[in-house]
Order: sequence, then C-alpha cells, then structure tokens
Amino acid sequence: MSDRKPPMFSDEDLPDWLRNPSAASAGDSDSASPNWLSSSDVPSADVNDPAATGDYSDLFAPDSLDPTDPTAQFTDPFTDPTTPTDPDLANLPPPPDIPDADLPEWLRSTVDAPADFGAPLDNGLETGRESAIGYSSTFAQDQRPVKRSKTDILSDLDWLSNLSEENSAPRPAPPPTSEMPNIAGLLDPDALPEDNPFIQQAVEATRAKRRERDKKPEVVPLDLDLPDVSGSFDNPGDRALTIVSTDTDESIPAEVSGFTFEDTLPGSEEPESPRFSMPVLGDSNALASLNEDDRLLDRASELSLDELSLDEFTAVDPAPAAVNTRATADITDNGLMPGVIPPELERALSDNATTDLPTWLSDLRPTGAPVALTVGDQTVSVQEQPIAQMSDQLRQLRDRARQFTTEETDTSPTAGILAGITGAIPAAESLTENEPTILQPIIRDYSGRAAIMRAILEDRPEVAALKRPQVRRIAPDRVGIFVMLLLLLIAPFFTGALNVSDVPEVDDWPEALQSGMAGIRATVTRIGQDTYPILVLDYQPGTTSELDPLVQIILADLLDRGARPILIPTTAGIAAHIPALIAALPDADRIIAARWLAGGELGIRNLADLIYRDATPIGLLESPFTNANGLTLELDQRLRTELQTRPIFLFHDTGDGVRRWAEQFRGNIERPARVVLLTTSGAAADAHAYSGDSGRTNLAPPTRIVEGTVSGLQAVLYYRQLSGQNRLEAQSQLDSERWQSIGVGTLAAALIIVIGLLVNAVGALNTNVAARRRRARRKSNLSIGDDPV
Amino acid sequence: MIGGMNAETLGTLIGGLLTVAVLSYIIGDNLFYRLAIAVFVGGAAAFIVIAGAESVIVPWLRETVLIQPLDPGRAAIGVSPFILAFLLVLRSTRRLGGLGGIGLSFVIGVGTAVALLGAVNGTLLPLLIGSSTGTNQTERVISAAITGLVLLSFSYLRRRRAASRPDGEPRAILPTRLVRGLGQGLLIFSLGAGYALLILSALTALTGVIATRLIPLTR
Repeated sequence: MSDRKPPMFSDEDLPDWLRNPSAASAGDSDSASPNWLSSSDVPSADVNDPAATGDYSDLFAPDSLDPTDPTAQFTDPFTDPTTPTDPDLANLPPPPDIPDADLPEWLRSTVDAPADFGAPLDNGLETGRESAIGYSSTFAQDQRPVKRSKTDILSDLDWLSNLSEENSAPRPAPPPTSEMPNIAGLLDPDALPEDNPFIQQAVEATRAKRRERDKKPEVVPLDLDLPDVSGSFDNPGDRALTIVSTDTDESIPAEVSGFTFEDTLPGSEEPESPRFSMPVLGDSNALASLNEDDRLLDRASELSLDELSLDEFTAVDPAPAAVNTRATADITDNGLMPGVIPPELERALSDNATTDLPTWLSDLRPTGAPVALTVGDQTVSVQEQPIAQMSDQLRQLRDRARQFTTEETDTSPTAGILAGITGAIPAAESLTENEPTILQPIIRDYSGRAAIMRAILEDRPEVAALKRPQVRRIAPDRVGIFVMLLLLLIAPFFTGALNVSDVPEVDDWPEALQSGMAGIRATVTRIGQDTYPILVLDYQPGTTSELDPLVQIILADLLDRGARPILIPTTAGIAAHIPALIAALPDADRIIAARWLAGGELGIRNLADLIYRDATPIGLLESPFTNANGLTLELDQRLRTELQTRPIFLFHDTGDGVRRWAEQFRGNIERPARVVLLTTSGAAADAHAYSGDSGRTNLAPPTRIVEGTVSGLQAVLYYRQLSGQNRLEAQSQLDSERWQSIGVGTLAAALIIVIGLLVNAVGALNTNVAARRRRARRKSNLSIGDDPV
Repeated sequence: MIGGMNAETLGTLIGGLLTVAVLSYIIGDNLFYRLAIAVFVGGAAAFIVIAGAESVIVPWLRETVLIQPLDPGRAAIGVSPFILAFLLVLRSTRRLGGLGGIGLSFVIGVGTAVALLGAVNGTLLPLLIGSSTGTNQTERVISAAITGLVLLSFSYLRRRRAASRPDGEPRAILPTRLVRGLGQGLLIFSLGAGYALLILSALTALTGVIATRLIPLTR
C-alpha cells in the first residue's frame, strides 16, 4: 500500500464556491466558478484514432529537451497533435481472438469483471463528488473492494486532465494527509446548483464518455506484430524504462526535476495531487545523472525492456488503451503511466503487493527497503536484490525453492506448538507423501526436522527430562579411591605396620642422587663467611611442602657457614611466603629477602644482565637486594664480581621454569654461570635434560655449568644425612614417617593405576569380543535364506 | 589469642579446612570446593596487587619518575609503561578498544622475542651442538633414534588407494604403522614417567601438609 496520503485541507484551501455553494450559485457564477473549466474542451478522444494511440518509439526516443533548461516544456507525444502517427500502428490488423485459457490470470479477472462493476464509481462521478475535487487516487483506494483498475477511473476523469496546461497555475503540493475534506454535503446531487457550468459540464462529459465507451467495446488494435521499439535504442541506458516514485523532490537531480509533471487542475484552487517526477524515457542525460549511490535509486523501480514481454502488453485490457491521450501521459499517484503499464501492474505496485506481480516483474523489482522477516520474537532484516544480480547458484536455489511454494496464509496457526507465529512451519504439514516423487527426499528430511522441532518444543516427557538440571552423581569408585589413599597416607604417622621401606642410609641412596648431591654439597662447603649466595625461589605456594624443606636445609647450611643468602622470589606468592619460610631458621636476620622479580623471562634476563654482563637494566637501578627490614645491599663492582663467581641456587617446581632459566642464562651471559638446580619430583626430568650425569651439562658449551641437580624429598633426607642436620630426633622421626607415607601412597597409587588398567583392558576385550560376535551373528543371519552371491 | 587459640593454630585450622575443601572435589563439584577456590583466588589477587605495588611499581617510580634530580629521559621511560597499561585498559571500551592493541602488541611482541631468542640460544643450539660433539656415541645414537621415532609417529602416510578400516581411518602402510607404533610406545613411556613424577610430587606435597599441619595437632 502506498504510504502517500491525501492532503489535509482547511476551509481556506477550498475555493469560495466550494466552501459556500449556495452563495456561489446565488452570486456571480463567473466569479465563483473557475473559468478554466468552462473554457476547456470536452474530451473527444477516440480509441480507434491512431493519432491518439501515439507512437511508442516516440515515447522512448524524445531527447529534445535540454535538461539544463528549467523553462523547457515537456511535450507529451500522446497529446501533441503534431506527433506523427506510426503507419504500422494505424494499419494494425484486428486483434486475434485469444481464448480465456491463454490469457494471464490477472487479465482474465479484468475481462471477466461484470459490465457494470464500475457503476458505483461512475455514479459517484456523475454526482460530481470526485470530479470537482480531483481525488481520484484516494477515491480509488477507498473503492478497492471493487475490482476496477485505476486506469479505468482515470479514464473517466480524463476530462479533468484534458484541460489546457496553459491555464494551470502550479503551486506547491500541500502536505499529505489521510483526512478527506467533508464535502459530501456540498456535493450532494440534489444540492448541486443546476446553473453551475462546472458541475454540469463535468456530469455531461462523464455521461458522454460512458455512452461512447458502451457503444465501442472493441479492443485496442494491437497485435503481436508491434514494431520492436527496443531495437531503436542506442545504448543500454536508453533501453531502461525507469519509473521513479518520490514523495519529495529533495533527492531528485536537477535534470530530472526539470521534467516534473504538475498533476493539478489548471487554475483551480483545489489542493493538488502529489507531484511525481520521472526521467524522460530515452533521455540518457537524465538517466546518467542517477548515481548508484543516490538515494533516489533506493526508491526507484527499474524495468528492463530486455525482459519485458510485448505479448503481455498486447493482452492488456482495452479499457486502458481507450484512455484519453492526455490521461495516458498523466502520472498516477504511484508514478506510473496509465496505458503503458498494465492495470494489473499498476494495482500491484500501488498496493506494494509484490507477491501479486507477474513473475517477470517480481523478479526485477526488489523491495527497496529491507524486508523484515519475523518469526516469534526474532526479526531478521533482508535486503532484496534483483534476480539479475544473483549468482547462478542462488538463482538455481531460488528456482528450486519456488517449487515448494505452498498456500500462504495470513493467519497464524491457532493450535499446536507454532500457534501465533505467522507463516511458520505449518506449511510442512501440507507436504505429504503424495507429493511428486522428486520431492520425497526433501519431504522426508523436512518432516524429520519438523519432528525434531516438535519434540524440542512440545512438552514431551523426554524433553522435560532434558530440561531438568542434571544432578551429578557421586562416582563410588572415585570416593573409594579418595578415602583409601587418604587413609594410607595418614596411617604411617600413627603406625609402623604399613611401612614399606626404611629411610636409606647415606651409602644406600641411588647413585644418581649421590652424584648430584655430592656436587651441591661441595658447592655449599666452598661458600665462605660474609659471602652473598643467591637463591632464586621460582615455585608456587602449592609446592611449598616439597621445596620448602629443600630451601630450608640449604639455607641452614649456608647460615651455618656465615654466609648472607639473598632470596629472590619470582612469584608474588613466594614473596609473601618468605617470612614463614625463614622464620624457623637460626640467624634469619642475615638473610636478604629481595623484592619480587617480576616479568618472567624479561625479569630473568634483567637479572642475568645485572650479574653477568655488568649492565644495570632499568627496573633494577634500585638495588633489588633489599630485605624487609630495609637492609639494602648495594650492587657495587665488588659484589658483582663475587656474585659472578658464586653459584646460583635455583628452586623450581615445573620443568617450564627450569627451561626458562636455562635458556635465558645460556643465551645471555658472557662468562660461565654456576647453577645448582633443585626441583620437585615433577620437574626432575626437565632438570636432568639440562644437566649432565656428572653435574656438568652435556647440552651446552662450558659457558653454563650445572653444579648438581636433585629433586624431591629424598634429596632433603639425603642432604640432611650428609650435613648432619638430622641430629634432632623429632625431626628425624617425622621425616621417616613422611617417607613411609609417601612410599605407601605411591605404592597404592601404582596399584590403583595397574588395577584400573587391567579392568579397562578386560572391559575393552569383552567389548571387542561381543562386537565380533554380533558381527558374526549378523552375517550368519544375512546368509540365512539369502543365497550368497 | 582468639578463643583460646593463638593465631598460628587458628591459621593451621583454617588451612586444614580449606585443604579438605579443595580435596572434596574428588567427590564432585560442591559448595566447599568453590568456596575454597574463591578464597584462594581472591586472596591471591589481593596479594598480587599489594606485592606488585610494593616490589615493582613503587621502586620503578622511584628509579625513573621520582628520582632527584629529575632526568627527563628517564622520566619518559618511567611513564611509558603506564601509558601502555592505560592503552590496555582502553580495550574494555568499544570505541577506543583498537588503541589497546598497541599495548598488547608491545607486551606480546617483546615477550615473544625474548622467549624465542632464549629458546634458540638456550635449547636448540645447545642440543644440536651437544649431539654433534658429545663423546658418548651410544647415547647420541639412542637419543637420535628416539627423537626420530617420536617425530615419525605423527606421520600419516598411506597407500594411494588403501582400504579404510571399519572405523573409517585410512590404513597406513606397514612401515608407517611400525614406526608409528614404536614412536607412540616411546611417547607413552615418557608420558607415563612424567605422570609418575607428578604423582610423586603430589604425594610429597600432601604428606608435607599432613606432617606439618595435621600431625602436630594430634601430638
């Protein structure tokens, strides 16, 4: 439906004779009535007059107007008597008798319309209701239930448009309005002044027109032998019939605006119909001015003559062709030219009923605005485009989809899961197994999807079960393993019945551990009094139980030797943990707890630069060696030299940390770095990969020396035995119980893993056997009754 | 003293309860586990902020921006990390989020460059040099063989028109299957060893908690 609304008028907008007809009739009728109407000619066009038909080639070809000349007047070839008549059209043979079955449906409906179906409108015209005002378009919309084309209506009003243009006084169009002026009482036939020449002339003209048309029901002498006017175009731009419907002129180029038709009654005071502009057909300049980015094109509908079928033009109802020549050139309120565009097309475009358009036209005319597709509360905007711009694949998909077009319904399903959703899946129910065979696979697939949707949407028990929150069941095997492991780990602290092995003596430890620990012990013993060994704590609080004893035992040994250890944490958690770590150590105040070395690899690299490259990176300008008590160790050259000669003790809990430190120290230092790796059991493999069997790395040149690598609780126990720190009986007993606990727990974990492996293996074996039996059984069943090929 | 307990005992008790709460995850996700995790995460985040300000930000400002006499060049360097940090904050905005990419690219770029340089110089080159100059020939051969087998275990060579197995997997040629099997076996051994070490580490940590936190309460 066009959004253009009839203008709103006030009394001031109406002429005096219309505001007060009685006064007009009583007074001077010449002054009350517009003189342009009495001086105009009554329509006298003859549909059989070839001159009235005009030359179609002239319709598209004229290029006589200068687009830059605002005073240029457009000469309508349909009304211009000087327009030469095409001899081919004048000599056209009578139209063939086309059976109804061959006619398009829209034409059949027009032909089959009752002869008097326009009577109400004509009666209205006779009473002068519309003829005096000129609201043909609005009235036609109000009379929509009557199947009568708008062109017919205009043909009855052609006497209005046949008036001389010279007498017209164009005026700006009033704003559109949906209100009709209340003129019914004024225009009542009984109240019409009989001496009003305007009204009487209008009535007589309409009656004469009807009589003339009733006497001549011949069809328009058009035939299939129409001249091919499309071939006369010089360029593709000329071959485009562009129909532009605009609400305002603001987006129209000047060249196009110059050809604006003022659809108004000449010299009348009545409100005008909205103005419409269209580029002159064949005017390449005007068409060229239409930039693709111009918003004008957003509201334009383009028809390519290449895809226009002239056959359909020949099947046009003769009534539009009998339109007065002036009316033919007139523009309807949809920007269409009556007589050129089939009335069915006019009606469809005026109603924006794209679905009612002929296929060839609906393919060409996408909706200008985005199309909003709504399903439930979901809305998707889609921008249509002409089919000519679609790819081949999309076009094929479209053609296939059109085969499944089902009966559309404007009403929503009233029952079922899709109630209230207009145009939703109910179409699936119309697809049955009785459809053509080619549709069967699609129907099955579509039906399956619909069934799934129903299963999801309907309140079925299984769907309801899915909607219920899943309650995580407690796995009894997990609980059993947890409880068993916990008991086995705690039991050794209370009883010796579960002891699996005693703590080894000094000489009973593994050789690898003895080798690594021997190097570490030798390094510690070489550290003298008032030296500054660096201990880097690069582990998380979660592994403090494993690494803290290792740190403490090394620190205790260093403190015993009068050293002043520097602790450098690389994580915030360990930085906070340092006070608790050193709290139990004697002479803890001699320990320098440095600030947190942040930055990961960058921090490590900065530390390496600070120690081994005599550089002072920004960020470490202020001595990092400051303890919590404010004791700052200034990094002078003497201290730097000492740090370069002393080993660095690295405590790690992950293999990644080991790699990170090894890489940054390896690639950065200029002199051999002496490193002692002390890790957790989990990082032992990586630590050994970066160290050698004898404590010296075999992966790098002697620029990096690893003094020793140990890991785990066994390193603590062994070092304690070596350093004689196990002199406390309580500590020794606790270490022994812990050793037993770890042993029992490890054994239990290993047994659980092995048992689980066996259970899974047996289960998998049974599964395979069962599957093999099923396959064999299936094969045997297939063989029964069927002769093997 | 709080309710007859000193702070250390109270801390030990709370720590024990939180440990049990974390261990309760073995029977499934539950309120106590989530509560303990929330406490840990919140406490860690708060401490990181404090430690970062005390150990990193304040010393950095003292060395650069607040140093006396003021050094403009050093002050500019001192301000630059805060500019980058501000750009990272802008990533939370839609309009200026693109500027955050500058700070992010700087952080990622520098970190990656340093890590890559360290990996090449600290791992790859030493590995190549050590393999070529080592004195233990047997170890070199074994190392090279293991490395090759593990790498080849990720191969997917098969016949051009080889038949597929019932599960749809293409059937590889026999040498490929053999090499793949050996490589996968070595991988399984290495992963198993690593897993065993992790279990050992976990048990050591757990026994440490039991020995130092729970057992003293009973004695």
